[in-house]
Amino acid sequence: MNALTLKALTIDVPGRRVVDGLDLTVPRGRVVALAGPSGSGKSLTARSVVGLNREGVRAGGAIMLGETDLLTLPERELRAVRGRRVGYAFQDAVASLNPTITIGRHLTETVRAHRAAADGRDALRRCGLDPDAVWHARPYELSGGQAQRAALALATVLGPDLLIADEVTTALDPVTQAEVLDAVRAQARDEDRAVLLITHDLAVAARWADEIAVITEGRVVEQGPPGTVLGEPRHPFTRALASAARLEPSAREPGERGETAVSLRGVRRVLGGRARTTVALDGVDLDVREGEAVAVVGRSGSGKSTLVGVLAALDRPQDGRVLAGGPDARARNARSLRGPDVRSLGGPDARSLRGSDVWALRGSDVWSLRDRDRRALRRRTGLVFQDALASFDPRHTVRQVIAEAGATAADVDALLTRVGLDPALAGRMPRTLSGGERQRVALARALASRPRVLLADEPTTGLDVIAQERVLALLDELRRDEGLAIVFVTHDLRVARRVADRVVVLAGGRVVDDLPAAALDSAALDSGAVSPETAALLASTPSLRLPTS
Amino acid sequence: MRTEASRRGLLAFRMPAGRPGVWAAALVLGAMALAAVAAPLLTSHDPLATDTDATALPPGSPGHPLGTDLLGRDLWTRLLYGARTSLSAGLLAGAVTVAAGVLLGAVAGAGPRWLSTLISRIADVLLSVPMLIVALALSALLGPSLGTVVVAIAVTSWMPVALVARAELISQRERLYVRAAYALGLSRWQVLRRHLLPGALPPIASIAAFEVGHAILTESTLSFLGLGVPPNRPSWGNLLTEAQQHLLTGEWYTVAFPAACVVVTILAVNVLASAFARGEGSAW
Repeated sequence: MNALTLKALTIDVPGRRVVDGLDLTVPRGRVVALAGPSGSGKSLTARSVVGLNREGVRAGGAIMLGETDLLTLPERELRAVRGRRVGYAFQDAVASLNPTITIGRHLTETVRAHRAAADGRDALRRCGLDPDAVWHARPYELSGGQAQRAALALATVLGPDLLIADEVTTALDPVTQAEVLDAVRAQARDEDRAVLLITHDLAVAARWADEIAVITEGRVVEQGPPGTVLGEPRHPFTRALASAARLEPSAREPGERGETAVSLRGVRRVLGGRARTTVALDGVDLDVREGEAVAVVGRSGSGKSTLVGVLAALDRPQDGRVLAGGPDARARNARSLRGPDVRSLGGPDARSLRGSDVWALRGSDVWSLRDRDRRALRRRTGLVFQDALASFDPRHTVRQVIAEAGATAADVDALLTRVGLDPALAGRMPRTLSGGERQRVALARALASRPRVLLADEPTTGLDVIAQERVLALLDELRRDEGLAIVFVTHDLRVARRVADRVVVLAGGRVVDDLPAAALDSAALDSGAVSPETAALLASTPSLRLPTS
Repeated sequence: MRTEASRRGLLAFRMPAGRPGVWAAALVLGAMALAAVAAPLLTSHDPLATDTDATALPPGSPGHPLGTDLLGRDLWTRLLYGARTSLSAGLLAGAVTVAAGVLLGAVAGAGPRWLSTLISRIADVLLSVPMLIVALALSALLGPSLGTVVVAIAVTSWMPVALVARAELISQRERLYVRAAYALGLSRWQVLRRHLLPGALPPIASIAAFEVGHAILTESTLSFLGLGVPPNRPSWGNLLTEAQQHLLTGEWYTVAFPAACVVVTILAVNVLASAFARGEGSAW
């Protein structure tokens, strides 16, 4: 029996039709993934089911929950459906919970609102949480994975017929993602519940869904079991999506490695204030050479982002040294300074010294320099964040954003072209751009001061596979053409393999593995050549190359 | 959802169309200001000259549209010249208040921690003391003059502006784009000037508008108590002080008109200020 049937669903936002004649059925006891790129109408469709769309969004067609058409229900009856017959879990679990009340109160409140008899503690247990540990906790006290499980418990506490999981694991690391989605699927089987899994990740859909519906431009173009949809895609769009999701490492020679661009020696950084401290980095040694791409992988809380802050000379480690250039650069530097004119050999280096002689700073400890010199070094390091939009001043246009890094008007156009954007975008506000475009603007800004090192902190985590593939290809190009050193932080091993020559695995603030990217496959897992942490990451990473039949 | 909110944030300074109240308030204020500036053109009388032939005339008397007081001074003229004093004192005091508040708030928000604590503690203490008592003490100490009024108002009302400015700067400081700016090699001063201050401005602007209305009201209060501008200079507050004695003798209009001016002005300023405040957001 079908729990949910969408018939010729149309959704209009002011000015345009986003979903145009979408048909989809979600049978009981099965997980159906609605997979597609950003802007394809996935989330609008999901929200329309429970009538949670913003004002001005109008839905047409029919949304049948069992025998009821939800679109014809008055608000009052719709409210009775929400939570009781349809559970909804959002991508950002922490934001979807009220920070001022405890998890337990969230659950009892939901049960009471529907005058139902249900045990919140059971719901938490089913979602893999210890009720005693989290009942009295507030949402912000939980880790990302715990918060998402609590949100799922809240969505399923009344045993709904249908659970809508809207990108619930996009922000989670692969190990946590696997745990959360395993729980979702197990519940679907045990309680005969229909699950609509919204995702942009085909590999996730392939591993956890019984059926995949591929959506683009507001229509389902293909629906079927993962093996069929991914194995023998009929629609060209499915083929494009599947190939982007496969993240095949491009065939490339390791490239010419230059000098050491930055190195860390015994870096230790402790976060937190008086009450509670966390050792985010605990004795990290790392060398990154020019022309080399290093992926830093690890679970949430393993110290990845702290590492980026330290490499960018923004955060000062409590212990250890951050060296601009390798530890031996200073000696070599002194030697070469006696030679002819070393700066003319520097090529592009000489252009952007801007007052401070960066060349002379090579090999020195970043935190023993004057503030002015440290700022000069920061200009030689490009930094890209996961949330590109939040890293731009909301009052600035694309042009202002890039010009802030020291680019002239002509440079801005050249940089935008370099990252594959139309220079005409320069006058737009970043928030009017798509996620992939924003991230490329962020790259253009990072490249404006001609850095030698590019630090990228999960730059593709929020992007769909197609936008992600474009950004990754661009990074490849930059490394090859400009000899950049790239440090790429990610929790996704597939992305790491795709982009990097070398993979550094962090766990608990320590480097537990430092391997060539090619060594990261199931063979490594079987041979036991990797640390347990790496093995856990490998095992939980979904792969499109898994036998899907 | 995010983009929707940000669009609203950017419109912080655009007058919301289709809200007649806001337009009316702006018109009223504009008319008031114009009348004050053009006072000599709108009346042929002298605001200080007494005329013993025309004392206590009711409104509508020939040559005296709003009547005269017991000394035969034309009320319309005195209101116009009073608007000059009251509005300029209010604007000046409002400007000084906001400038002082932003400065102290910026120092507290960007400076060392002890300074931040010191400034916010002083603000807390001043907020807990009845404002009028401090203003009265200051006026009594310095003697009545326009300067005294401005100083008294600034000293007693910079706190909300400073606290808002400080809080805004501190919240801006934690934003990712500020970190990104440091990563580009910008100095602290450049970050403050390019990112922190522009980001903090919209909420400050809305509170500043309220401060101006507050200053106009305080000026009237101080003048009414005889501690504001010197009694020989007409201001709305002074007119009310003099009228106080006539209230029970039938010359109701000597009270009603200046009071109406104060009420209408404050009302208009507050309507405008709330329009700012509504449009204001943390810019995303």
